[in-house]
Amino acid sequence: MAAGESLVRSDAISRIRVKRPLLHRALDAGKIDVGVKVSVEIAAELNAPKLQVLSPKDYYEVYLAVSEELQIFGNVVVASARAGGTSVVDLYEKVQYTEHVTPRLYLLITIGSALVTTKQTLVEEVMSDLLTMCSAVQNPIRGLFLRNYYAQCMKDKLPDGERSREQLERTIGFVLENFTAMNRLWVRLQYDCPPEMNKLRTKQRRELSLLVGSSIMTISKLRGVDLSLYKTLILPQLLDQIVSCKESLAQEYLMECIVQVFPDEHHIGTLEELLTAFSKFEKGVDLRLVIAALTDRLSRFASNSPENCEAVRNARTFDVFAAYLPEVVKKFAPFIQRTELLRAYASLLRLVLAAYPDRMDFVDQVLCFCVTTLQATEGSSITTGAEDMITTITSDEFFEGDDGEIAENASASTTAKAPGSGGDASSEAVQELAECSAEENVLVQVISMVFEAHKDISDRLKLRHFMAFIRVLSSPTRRKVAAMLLESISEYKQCIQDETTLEKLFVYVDPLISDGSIRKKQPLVHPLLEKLVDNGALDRESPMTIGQAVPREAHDMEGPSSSAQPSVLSFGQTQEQAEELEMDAGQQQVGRIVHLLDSSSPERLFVFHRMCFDRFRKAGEKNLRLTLPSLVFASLRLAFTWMSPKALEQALEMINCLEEFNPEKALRFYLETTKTAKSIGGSARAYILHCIERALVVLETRIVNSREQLRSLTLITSTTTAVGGSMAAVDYESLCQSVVKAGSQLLTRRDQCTALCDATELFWNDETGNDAIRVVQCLGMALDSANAVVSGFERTFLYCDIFNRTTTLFELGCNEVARKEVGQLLAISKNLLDEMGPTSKVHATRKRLARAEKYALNNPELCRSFALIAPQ
Amino acid sequence: MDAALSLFGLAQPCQISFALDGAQNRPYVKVVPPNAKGEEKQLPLYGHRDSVSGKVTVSVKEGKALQTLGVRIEFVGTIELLYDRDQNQEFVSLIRELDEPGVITGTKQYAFAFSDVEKAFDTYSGLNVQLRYFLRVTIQRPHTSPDFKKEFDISVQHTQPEPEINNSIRMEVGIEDVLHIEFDYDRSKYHTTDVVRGWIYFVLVRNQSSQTTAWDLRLPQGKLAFSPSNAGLRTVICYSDSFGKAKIKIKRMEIELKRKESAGPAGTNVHNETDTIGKFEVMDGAPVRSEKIPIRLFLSAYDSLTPTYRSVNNIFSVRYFLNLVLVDDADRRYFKQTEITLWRADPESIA
Repeated sequence: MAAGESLVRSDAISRIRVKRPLLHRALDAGKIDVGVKVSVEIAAELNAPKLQVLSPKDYYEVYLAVSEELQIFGNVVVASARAGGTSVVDLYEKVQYTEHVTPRLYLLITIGSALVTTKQTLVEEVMSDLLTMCSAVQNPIRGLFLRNYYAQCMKDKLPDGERSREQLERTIGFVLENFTAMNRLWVRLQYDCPPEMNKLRTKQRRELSLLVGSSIMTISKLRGVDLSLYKTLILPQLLDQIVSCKESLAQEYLMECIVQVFPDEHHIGTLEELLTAFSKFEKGVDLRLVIAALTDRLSRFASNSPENCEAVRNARTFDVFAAYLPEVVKKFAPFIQRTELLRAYASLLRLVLAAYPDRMDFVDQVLCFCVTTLQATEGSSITTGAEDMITTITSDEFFEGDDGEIAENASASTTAKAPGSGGDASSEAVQELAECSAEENVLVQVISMVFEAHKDISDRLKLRHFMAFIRVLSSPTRRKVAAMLLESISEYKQCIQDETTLEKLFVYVDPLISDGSIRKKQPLVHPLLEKLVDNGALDRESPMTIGQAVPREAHDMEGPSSSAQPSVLSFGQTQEQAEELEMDAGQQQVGRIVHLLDSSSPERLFVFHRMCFDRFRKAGEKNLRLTLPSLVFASLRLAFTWMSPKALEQALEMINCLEEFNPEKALRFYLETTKTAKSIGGSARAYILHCIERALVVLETRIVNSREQLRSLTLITSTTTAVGGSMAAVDYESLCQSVVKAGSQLLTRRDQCTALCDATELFWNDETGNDAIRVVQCLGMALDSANAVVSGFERTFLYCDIFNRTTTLFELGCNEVARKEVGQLLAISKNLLDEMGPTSKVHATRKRLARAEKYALNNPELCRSFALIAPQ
Repeated sequence: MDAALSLFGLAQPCQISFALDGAQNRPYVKVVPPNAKGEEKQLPLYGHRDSVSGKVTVSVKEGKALQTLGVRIEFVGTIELLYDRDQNQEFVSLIRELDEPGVITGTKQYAFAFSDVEKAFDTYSGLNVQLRYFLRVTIQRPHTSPDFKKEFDISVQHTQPEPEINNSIRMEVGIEDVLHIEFDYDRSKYHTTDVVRGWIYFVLVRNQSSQTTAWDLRLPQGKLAFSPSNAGLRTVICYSDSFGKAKIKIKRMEIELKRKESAGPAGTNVHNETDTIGKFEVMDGAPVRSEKIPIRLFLSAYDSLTPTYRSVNNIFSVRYFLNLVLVDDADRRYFKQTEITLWRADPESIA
């Protein structure tokens, strides 16, 4: 078939080419009449019955060949007329004698064009006459090409430049008339075939679309077409034709043409008309495409310059969209996938963000549209209206109630929808689910656009429909969105100035906060997911695997021979870990809320902290480990700046909560608190003892890692020393005992030794005074521990430590520590090292030893007191 | 021919030739004999009462003498029925004697004139009938010798004033529930180089609706499918198939220009002959409802047109019709014929 077609085409073209010399000879000889005859024969090729098998594309080639020859003929006629040889007017009549209509009209247009060129007749007369005659060709393909030939021939001859408005209007009238007729033929082409050829025809029509669209282009290029002319004359007629042709491809394509071809100012001035036309379109029209074409165009325009932006705003662009678009969407909702509807809104949102950077309420309205659209179409998990949302927004119980409802819905839909075999239902459901996830993607895109544009959290909190918006999302996505809300804040400005705002923020990020507990009892919020799990079609981490179908597939592909089960399983685990990580990141984001709180008033800040704390606690204690630290820091800072024991107490309460899940942090916070308490002074001093005691308790009961224990104890020791002066001597004494005891109870001898060495600090400092007996006691215990160490190497190390510590204390004035035994430690160490092989560790220790010795030997008093003898 | 005849001594001993007065200034009319038999001729054109005058030259071959009983010239108008030569009718016959009986030698010229001779009809050359005007010179011969005769045709055309009443022709025709069209010719009377303008308006076209009904109008090919409207009342011949709904898919539409010639004196068998002078495609493809197709038919494209003749001397009539033909994709033809009246305008009045 295809080969046959190309044969027909090339035959036709070669017949045309054969006639070319005939034409030229006739024209060269000045035989215009013969020229007419040959031209008719050439044009008749376009009418040949054989050509009916050709696709529009092939026909186009024949058309090109014909029009090339006809142009030559036309040019000769013009030249001959100018030379005074030919009456073009007579010729205009003569060519109408031609028997067949298609060649006749091609000739007529050619001569008509020559008439205009030689200015023998008014352009308008010729145009109008030709236009009338063109309707004789009703065959869609032939008609389209004929009218295209007309348009091409007249394009450069349209009255231009000096002319009256009436003239311009008439010209536009001609072009529009031709456009209308072309469109009708174009549309007819679709209906003009048996149903089984519909698809092919649609494809062919797409190939032809340019012919129809070029008329719109021609109008747009006319000089002198201003907005009022466009609005009153051009657009109404264009839209009337586009709407009344009742054909989706035409509506889609031509509307896009209009949007692309005319200037932005015109669109701004005629938004209502355009949108009204949208609402009348056929159901097959890709609504998103046309809306996006318009909004994207306007967005680009608005972002070009502030003046443009102003123009868009002055035209109340958004108001118009808001008034019309929901109606349009509503009308199309039954025919179009919801994803597409949402995308339409997304494109509106782009416009809003480009043209109205300050109008959060507009953004909010778009969110509302999205929600309403989802609510209006069934299958969504929303049951309550968006308006209710606002009133219940401060209710803490809100989300639990919500989820309960959803669960009910889910089970209802499961029982109602899945009576058939599980397999069928699930495959269907998977499809539906894929669509759902596409919807979610769009929604996430929408919200991330908003966040991208509005970095300021206080702006974001102006979104009244945010809650309703995220309620339509599945639980993991909700979390994601809530995290995004916090995440994309680049600078943490202190923008939360009242409790309501904070409360609101909590509600907004609730999915993140409430996550832990709720997720456990209701892992799958989406009714569909619920259903799937019921059917056993998906394993537990299905929401994620569906959402990321590609990686999973890829994973499966890796080892087709090995059983798929383990790989999926391991994937599931990593998935879980990833989820965990993602959640942790989310929690950290929540923690950062603290930085948003306005700190100008300490009282208010105090209340804020309280609220945060309460909220975080509600979120499940497990998460506190991530959320609390920043709050504790902030509280401590507040306590310090405000000098308030009240704030300190609140901080302590928080730290207390942290003990279980993050003991290390809790311990450090306790120690930190003591310092703050010390600087606050007064009644706050009472907390010092408490804190250190708590720290010790935490050390004993919660810290299991031995190294961490040592580290913590070291910290406790130094803190106790630092704040010791601020507490009663008795308390200090008992604390010291506890610390020494803790030190001596550490797991390894080595740790004990180190801790005890450190503990000497407690008894010899400027804060609490000196107690040489206790110092010696401590050192003794340390030495005992060191002696008990089995490893010679470690022992050497500890000896060196003890020696250093002792000499330090001696230099600080603690003469009681001067013992000969201590001096011998060096020699013992050296011997021990000598016994060991020359490893790098040994070498390092030897060096350390040498340093200590060298230091001591340079100090004669040390040498004397510790009976050190310089080596020979 | 003459040379061959002269060989046997049978060749005419004299030549007769005509020279009409003012022949150079007269327009000439091309006459194509019907059925393309014979040669095309260019004849001088005379008006209704134009005098026909001129000179006849008789030249006898050198050295010969031609004895005559007299020379005369006739002006004859005849209507000849080609199928029956017996019924030829001379409606004009005028005689002028040019010479006394005697002997003609050498070349002799005679002037003649038929002043204000009435030429009531146009010359016409049809399939079955011919209307001629001619001059005939007869050299009468004594005894049984055949007379020498020579005829010379002239053509006569009458111009007519523009008709005072000239209504448009408007009709509504169709096949019920399948196709309704309205057509409109701007006038009912056209001069022979006129332009027929008009519209065809498709009121209803069922050509692409349900595919369930097979298309079968059960019409013999070429049968009249449209009927004219009478006095504004639409009468529609209805054809429908057994399934109820019928469709028609029109492929193209053309207008045929037809001439109907009826010949034969009253009371005898009338010979009718219809002849399609021209076909003119006015539409290509299948229209949909409410399409309006223009008609513009240049009659000057057809040079054999005559005015409409109604009962010329009670012997023949020539009438013209526009036949609107719709051709469907099975090449069935639906047509509606409408008579138009042609008249001859004074070329100066329409210039």
